[in-house]
Amino acid sequence: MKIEVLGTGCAKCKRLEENVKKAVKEAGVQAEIVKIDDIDKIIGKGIMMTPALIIDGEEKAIGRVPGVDEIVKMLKGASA
Amino acid sequence: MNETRDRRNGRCLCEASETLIFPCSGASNVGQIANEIALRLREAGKGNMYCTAGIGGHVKGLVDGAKSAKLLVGIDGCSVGCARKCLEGEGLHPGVYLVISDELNVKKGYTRPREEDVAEAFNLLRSRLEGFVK
Amino acid sequence: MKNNDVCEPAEILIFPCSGGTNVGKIANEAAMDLTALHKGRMHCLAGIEGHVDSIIESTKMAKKLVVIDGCHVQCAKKTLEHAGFGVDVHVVVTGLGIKKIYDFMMDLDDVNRVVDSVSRQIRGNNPRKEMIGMG
Repeated sequence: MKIEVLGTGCAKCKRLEENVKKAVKEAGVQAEIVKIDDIDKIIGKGIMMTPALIIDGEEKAIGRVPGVDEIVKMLKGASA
Repeated sequence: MNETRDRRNGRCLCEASETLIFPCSGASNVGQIANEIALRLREAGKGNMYCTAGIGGHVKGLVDGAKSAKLLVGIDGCSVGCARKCLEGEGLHPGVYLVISDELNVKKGYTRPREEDVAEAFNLLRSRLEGFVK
Repeated sequence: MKNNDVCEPAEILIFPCSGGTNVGKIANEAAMDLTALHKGRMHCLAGIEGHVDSIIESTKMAKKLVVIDGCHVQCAKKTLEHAGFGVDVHVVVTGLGIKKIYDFMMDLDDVNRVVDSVSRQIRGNNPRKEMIGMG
């Protein structure tokens, strides 16, 4: 599973990354977490807002920080 | 050349994206005033010029992003109100909304916009945004 | 106030995505340049997005629909297709090797490349005889 955390470095982006790491542990899934903090790379993916969360190429959250529980559900759904 | 303020200051896109600006970018002078002031507001750090076409095209990532914003700003060139109708079609309502031909003494025409009209519209919307309580 | 010049039908209508980055700005500029060169007429994509009757009706009467999208997301093409229109000429700015960046800096050479590509494709494209999948 590939998890991409898109954000240019503010508190929201960092919180998203922390929530993702906690969720991966809780869900017990194998995942590669990739942080993308370059604005041009972010918008190159067609994302116009951050923070953004992409799991296996699917946009899961744009412009908000989902909580750990919500991300765990997303991960379990993606690995099913 | 316009300053790439966002990148040079390392400014986060998250903050800018709390306010999303949707111009109609229509084919007339007033539509292009709407387009240009959205761009200048983005460069002034007053919000993120968004892809209105992504809403009309029902692009999920762009629609979801718009729903996450704190404030939506709609700018239509004329009273036909295309940008507003586009947003409303997705259940989105601009907290700040401007119709260029109503607010400025500009006759809608099929020409490029005049710089003085762009500057006037930009100042008008910028002060309206500063006065807006989120 | 309705302006009949913009709402009158034209044979070749050009829809740029006008999105919030450099390639959206290039698409927007190219559409205006193509209009000034009389290769077609820029039309209001937002009117398609907003399902505005006058814009929809004038688009139905066109012989060719030309879309200039900034990037691979192809919002403008999706907007027209969602409204039931087929697109005759489609150019994606990033497809011409122009990089999308979070900026509005615009190289006029890039705009000219888009104008040339669209012009060539308009010339090489036959007008539609009927609309495809009208919604």
